[in-house]
Amino acid sequence: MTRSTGERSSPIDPTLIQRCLHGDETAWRWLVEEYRERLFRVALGFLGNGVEAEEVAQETFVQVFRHLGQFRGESSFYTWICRICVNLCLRRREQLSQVQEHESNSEVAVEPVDTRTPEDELVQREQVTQLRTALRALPKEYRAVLVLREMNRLSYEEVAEVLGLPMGTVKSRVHRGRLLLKDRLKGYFQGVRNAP
Amino acid sequence: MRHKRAQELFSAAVDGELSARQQRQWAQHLQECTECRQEFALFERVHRLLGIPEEGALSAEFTEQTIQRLRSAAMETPAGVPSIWARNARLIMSAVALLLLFLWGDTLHVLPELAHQVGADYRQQVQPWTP
Repeated sequence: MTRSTGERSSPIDPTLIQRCLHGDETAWRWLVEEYRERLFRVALGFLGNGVEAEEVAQETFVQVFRHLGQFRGESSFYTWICRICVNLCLRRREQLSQVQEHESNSEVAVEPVDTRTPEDELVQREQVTQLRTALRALPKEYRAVLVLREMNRLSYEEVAEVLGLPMGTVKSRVHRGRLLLKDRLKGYFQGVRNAP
Repeated sequence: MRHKRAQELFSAAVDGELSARQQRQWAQHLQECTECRQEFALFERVHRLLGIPEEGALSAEFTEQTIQRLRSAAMETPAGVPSIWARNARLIMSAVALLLLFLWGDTLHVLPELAHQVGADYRQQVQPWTP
């Protein structure tokens, strides 16, 4: 269960950055293909909607394009662009929650699923759906750390770097976030008899 | 180990961050405590299910659409430059400096006149005593 640290933080070739800064489209294409999947996964974790996640991932690349000259190499390139993506996701979430304001503060209504189904996979899928719904209803400080740590498998160090928080804060938020989800879904999980 | 302490260590346990001594004490507590065992089973399930990749895939056109957006952005600003203000920062700074110089020069022009007037006023107020 231990996750390796630094697997995503391999340093980017500085000449590639220079090529991008000089408008080399081949370099940009490489950059997009290298990071698109991971940014999409991060955005999907925050937004839970493929179309929105793709839009945010694309916007992240545009922001990277505009601010690349400000990248000083003090953090890993991945955590730098991930931070841009997270900020865009949080902004987008806020816009969306203004439309559906009741969603963010309310307890998640979790109904026990029909446990007569024999397919474990179906049950698990239902559990994951309930869990994701509960996750998106958490306060954003818990949601952000859990999306990065649990869903995108960033190390605690990387999460701290992306969110600009001390590592102790990240660890305690991850722990409290997991506890919150456990408590909110306790009734639901206990209702699922056929869970794998 | 008490319940509270055992539950505080749930995250360290799923992250594999317990020391050998902690692991031993914690495992022993769980063996003896049904409540903590059940709570940990739920906690571990939350952790495991969260790690299942979310369904959804990037569209095949993602890269091309992104490159297209980057081309449009490049028409507005060159790469790595945040805005038109930053791009023209030197020009703007030069214009501001010129304006300041102009205003200052104008002030300098007025200064001798001002100094003369102040001097005259002072002399008028403080007349030297002559017997």
